Amino acid sequence: MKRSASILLMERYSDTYYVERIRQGDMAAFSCLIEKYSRPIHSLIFKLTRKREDTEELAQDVFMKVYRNLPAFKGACSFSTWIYRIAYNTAISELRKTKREYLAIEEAQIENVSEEDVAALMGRSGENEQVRMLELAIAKLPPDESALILLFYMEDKSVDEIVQISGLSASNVKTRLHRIRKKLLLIISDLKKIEYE
Amino acid sequence: MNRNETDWLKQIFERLPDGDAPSPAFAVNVMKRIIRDEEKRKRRNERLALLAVIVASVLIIVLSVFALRKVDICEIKLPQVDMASVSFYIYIGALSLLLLTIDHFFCNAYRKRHN
Repeated sequence: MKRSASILLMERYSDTYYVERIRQGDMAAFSCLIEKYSRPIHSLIFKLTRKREDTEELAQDVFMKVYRNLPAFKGACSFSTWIYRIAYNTAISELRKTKREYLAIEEAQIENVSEEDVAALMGRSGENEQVRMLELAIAKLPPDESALILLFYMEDKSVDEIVQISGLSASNVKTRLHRIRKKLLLIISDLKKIEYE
Repeated sequence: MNRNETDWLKQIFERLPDGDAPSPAFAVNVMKRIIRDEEKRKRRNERLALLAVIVASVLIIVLSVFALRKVDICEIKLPQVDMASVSFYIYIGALSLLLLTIDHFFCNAYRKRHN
């Protein structure tokens, strides 16, 4: 009896409970979801876009889309994965609006990069310098690539979670993550070479 | 792809800045936007419903008159319009429309003040 009461209590405050309340017209329940997810979504948007001034508005747009599309949420994935997917797509759309030139790198160059060499190069720099180099390198990646690598390394999302968020297949995600990592190393190596020249 | 704790690249990723926390009024601002959105949607639906009722009513009237004249169930005699009194009718109609419009604005203002 006690166990079922505690389960009910847990379920009472789960995302599913709030989603059901919102569907029944209780708009106030949505503010509970906002309180729960505003920090992680705000943080994710900033990490993906690196635009401090636009992050808050984009995060608001995410919650507006969540509210409008809630009737279409069927529970095929968890609510947190679903909201992350909306945030991911919003960030990618925003990044695509900024017409930037992204580096076109040949496959052969990517495969030839030596991780040990790049690690040694970076090891010679201070922590702040390493962060600056990485930020510059990420900025040179196309939006979808930077988003994937940030989800994997910064948000600590598993491949399965990234599959659900991005809509890509598991093999595609793994291949792309491997390739993006290599690309990052190549870009960092090139940036370091330019600095030393 | 493996993500080891000793992965030097991952360690640098972890040092990337997280960004600021959302402003204290974030939730309030989102709820205000949602409420505004809902009100706009409700007004749009009301206007569409009113339009649908008007169109349906006009259609029904036109079809009824047409059907009754065709089928000849009863003799419909359209009244002879007395052109002399048309201007009076237009005047009364315009006055009624003006008074209804003023009443509508006053009702809205009253509702806004008391809500």
